[in-house]
Amino acid sequence: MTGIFIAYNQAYYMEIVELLEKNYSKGFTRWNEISGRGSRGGEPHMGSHTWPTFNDAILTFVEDEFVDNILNDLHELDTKTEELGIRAFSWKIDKTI
Amino acid sequence: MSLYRTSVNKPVTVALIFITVAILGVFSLTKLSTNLFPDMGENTIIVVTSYSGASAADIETNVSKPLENALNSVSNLKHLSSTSKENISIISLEFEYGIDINEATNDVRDKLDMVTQALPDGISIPTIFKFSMEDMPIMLLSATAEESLNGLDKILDDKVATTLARVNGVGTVSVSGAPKREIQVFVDPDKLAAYGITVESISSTLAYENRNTPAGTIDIGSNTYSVRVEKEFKSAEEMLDVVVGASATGAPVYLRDVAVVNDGEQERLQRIYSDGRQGAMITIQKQTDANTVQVINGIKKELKKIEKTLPSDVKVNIIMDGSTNIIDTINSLKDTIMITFLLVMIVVFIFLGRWRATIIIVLSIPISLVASVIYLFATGNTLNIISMSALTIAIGMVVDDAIVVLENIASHIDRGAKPKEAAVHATQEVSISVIASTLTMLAVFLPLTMVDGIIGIFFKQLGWIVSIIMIVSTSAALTLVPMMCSRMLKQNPRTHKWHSILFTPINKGLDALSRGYGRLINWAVTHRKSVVFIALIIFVVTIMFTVPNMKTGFMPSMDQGRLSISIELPVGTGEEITGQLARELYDKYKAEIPEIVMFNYGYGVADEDNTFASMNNNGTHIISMNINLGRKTSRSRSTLEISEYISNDLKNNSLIKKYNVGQGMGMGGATTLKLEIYGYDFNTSDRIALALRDSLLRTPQFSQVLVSRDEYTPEYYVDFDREKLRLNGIDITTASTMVRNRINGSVMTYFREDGDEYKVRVRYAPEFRQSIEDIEDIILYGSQGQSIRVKDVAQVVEGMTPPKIERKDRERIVTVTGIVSKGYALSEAVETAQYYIEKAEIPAEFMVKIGGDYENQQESFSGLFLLLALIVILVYVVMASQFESLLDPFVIMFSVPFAIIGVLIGITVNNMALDIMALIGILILVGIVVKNGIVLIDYAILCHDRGMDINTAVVTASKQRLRPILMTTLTTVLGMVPMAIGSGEGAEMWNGLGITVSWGLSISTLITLVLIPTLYAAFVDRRDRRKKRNAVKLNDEN
Repeated sequence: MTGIFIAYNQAYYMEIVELLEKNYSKGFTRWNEISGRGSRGGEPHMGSHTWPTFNDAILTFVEDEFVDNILNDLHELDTKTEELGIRAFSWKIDKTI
Repeated sequence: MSLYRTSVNKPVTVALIFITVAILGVFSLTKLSTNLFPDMGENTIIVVTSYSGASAADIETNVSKPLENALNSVSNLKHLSSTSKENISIISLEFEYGIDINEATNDVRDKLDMVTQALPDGISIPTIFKFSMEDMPIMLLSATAEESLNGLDKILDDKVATTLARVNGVGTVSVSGAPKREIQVFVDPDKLAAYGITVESISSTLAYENRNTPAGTIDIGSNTYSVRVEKEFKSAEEMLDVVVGASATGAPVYLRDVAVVNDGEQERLQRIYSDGRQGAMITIQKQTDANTVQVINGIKKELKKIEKTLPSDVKVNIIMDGSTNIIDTINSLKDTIMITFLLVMIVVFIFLGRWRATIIIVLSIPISLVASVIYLFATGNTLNIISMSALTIAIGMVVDDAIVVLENIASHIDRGAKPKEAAVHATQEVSISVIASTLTMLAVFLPLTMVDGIIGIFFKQLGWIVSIIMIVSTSAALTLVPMMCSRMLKQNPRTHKWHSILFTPINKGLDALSRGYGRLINWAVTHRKSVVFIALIIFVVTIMFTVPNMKTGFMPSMDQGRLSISIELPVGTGEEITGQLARELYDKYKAEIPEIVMFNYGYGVADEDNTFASMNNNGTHIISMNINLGRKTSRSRSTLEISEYISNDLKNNSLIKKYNVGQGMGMGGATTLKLEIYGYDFNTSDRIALALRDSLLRTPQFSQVLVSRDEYTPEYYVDFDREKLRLNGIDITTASTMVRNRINGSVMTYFREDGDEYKVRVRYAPEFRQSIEDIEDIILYGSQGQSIRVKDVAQVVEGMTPPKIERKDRERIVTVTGIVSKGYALSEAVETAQYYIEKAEIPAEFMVKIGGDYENQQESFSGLFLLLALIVILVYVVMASQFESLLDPFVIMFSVPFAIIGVLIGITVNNMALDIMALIGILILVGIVVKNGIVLIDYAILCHDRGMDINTAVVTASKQRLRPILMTTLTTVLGMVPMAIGSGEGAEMWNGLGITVSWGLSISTLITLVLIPTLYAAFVDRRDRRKKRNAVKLNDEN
């Protein structure tokens, strides 16, 4: 199994859930209205007066064969609407119950 | 789940909530009645006390003064004035507007109870009346007749007055001018003397002969019959056969031997002519709390029915209809609202370039407007000038919140978010600033609801309406707008070809404008000192040029198209001469003033039975005229011009002693100035009053000047010698009653016909009461029956009756009332008056005070300035908490003085006076101009925080925010333009408001768009440098 952490502009929420479903991954854990900023540029999402937007984050664990598709789809979404911003990170999972 | 997500997810609920509000609003709108002004309520209580036989001075000392002393402690009392004249004392207590009049009445009653015991014996119990503007007649009708003229009184009384009085809301209906039938028995005094018969005995004989008496019942057989004696006169001629005495030989003397009987009309009568034809006038007053328009509609409906029942020669016409003016005014305001709505819609469409967005935004206008109508309906208010102006003001402002929300949603969508998500998050982002900007507006408008007094009546509605509209529009912006955006806005909307043809040049223009503006700000932030200096110069120069010449006023005068003129000839002028003059004036004005639609005049003594007519000044020497000039839009001269034309003409007429040309009553009437001369001595105050009148009349500022105190009026006194009377065995009362019975007549019985009764008046025939000699020759009878001529026991002398004594705030007063001419402001009239007051030699114990509109103006101005200060502080507090900074709102507040500069320029350019309406405009402006500053500075702070240096931040913010600022400013200014330039019925009332807001906002926007960013840059630079210095200092110390 692979864990994927997706940090994204909160406006993406519905699209990302649909994207995961499309790639046969139902389960996820989401953090709502959290702040953060990227290292590669793009606007920070601090929910403050200066940077009013918020981030969401989703942590999901998927079967290995879907990971590439998911990351590709996410990347495609990101390039389509660059101003909103998505980052995703994946890592191997040793064990699960 | 947040409010925004709920509303986006539940479109049906949200839509239905707003639809319900709209339906309730439309329902209220259909139920809402209209009026010219908000309900003022009653604010005057009148206490009338009579003390028969007392002279004016006696009444003053024994009745008015003690009552005044007692009533002075009634709470909320503003002014206490009294009029003392022969036999009667009238005290009027003027209260602040908006108090509970019932409570005040109870208070007055309590105070009266305490003092009545201390009053002289024989005094009547003081009667209390409540009085207000609402008691003025709302409708005058004229009735003319040809053949039925003699029976007109009865016809009108039976068919018109009683029927109209039943109409819902009608208070009293009184008929004046219709000849009243009366049976007159004119006796020949010489014949009476020959037979030794008196007027009194004839009168009482007639009364005894004119009787129907039930005589009881008798049983005849098994039946019971009642017995009656029926000897009432069947016709007037029957009276001639009555035996009234016996001759020396014992032969009966019949009435026909000593008198003639005339079945005719009352001798003294108010003669009324409508458009040249004699007839009657019907005056209609409404119940205090009834609505004028509704009552008049009811009357008109009833009149249509009545007309069918009247004889064909009786025509009933409307002389004055109090509702036309109200309906026209409200209609022209409705037009203004529609135009404003369209203008705002066009501006929004041009700036956004998207019709879907325009619909979403514009939709919040009707919803918030009708929501405030619900408030009006629920609180029993009306659609009036104030509430409708408030609606017009609000139209331009309600779209602001919706625009902010929609723009942010659109920019989120542009960045790639789905409309639904964008709607939720974008709304959430701006919600705080939207609420904050609504709070600033509430900081302006809510304090208005707390004002007292006369301005309170105007401001309360304005404050509530705008506040409600702001709250509803903000709620719509935070729920309805995101909901509709999520459904209606699209990602990458397709545009039509015509769209780009239309909007490419507009967008290019706006972009060029914002680039140019960016360059200007770029220059400004690098030349801060020059910018501040130029702004300062503009400020100082404007103040220098406008303030010293600033004219001030109280209320704009409204052209109501009505003139009511009262003309007094010297006292004692006979009815024929008065009538002749009235006719001449009528012919003249009818020919010279083509604007006249209806001309009604009357003269003569009003019937005592007619309360309204007898309350007004009336007499054989007084003419009163009512002229209807029709709608303002259908004539070229204003009512004021025509009134001045007439008063100039009357001024040059040597027959006329005193005249008053009035145009409408109460609020919106002509501007008047009252010079109140306080002091005890009659002669001195008369001298001062006349001197002031003469000097004011010579100035162009006043078109009419009236002195309240009447002159001494000539009268004949029958001065009896008590001793001589006593020798003849009679007293003063008997003697004076006899004189009265011979001149005025004795009425002891009534002639009955068809259920109506007519007075039978026995008096000397007219040819025996025409001169002093006739009075001297009147024969009285002593206790032994001996006849005495008046000249044997009395002297008939010509004397003067002192005028009534007026007092105000417990001092004697004479009022000189000046009506300000067209083109002159109240302040100019006040200056002139003050100049002449100073020039007049006024003894130390006398005091001259300026009252009237000036007093109202001073009172409301000081109240409003206090309010302005309060509002500025509140607005600052709201902004400071929003920015969490003391400096930023301070910079924004600089737009307020420039708004005032704009108003001053606007008023000067338009040659207007600074009046209440203009001040309301200034108060509203504080909120609006500050809003622009917030939008700009808010974004500058954001850019600065995002790391730009302050100059770049300010330039970027200015460029970015130019569009929304221009858009909101344009919607508000264009919303005001129809008000400013409107010329419909009643437009004078809101022109001032429109002009102040549009000028103030335009000029302040132009100046603040440059000054505020520059000042902000300067202040922030300073703050940053200080921070840096402190940091360096700290580092060094470490």
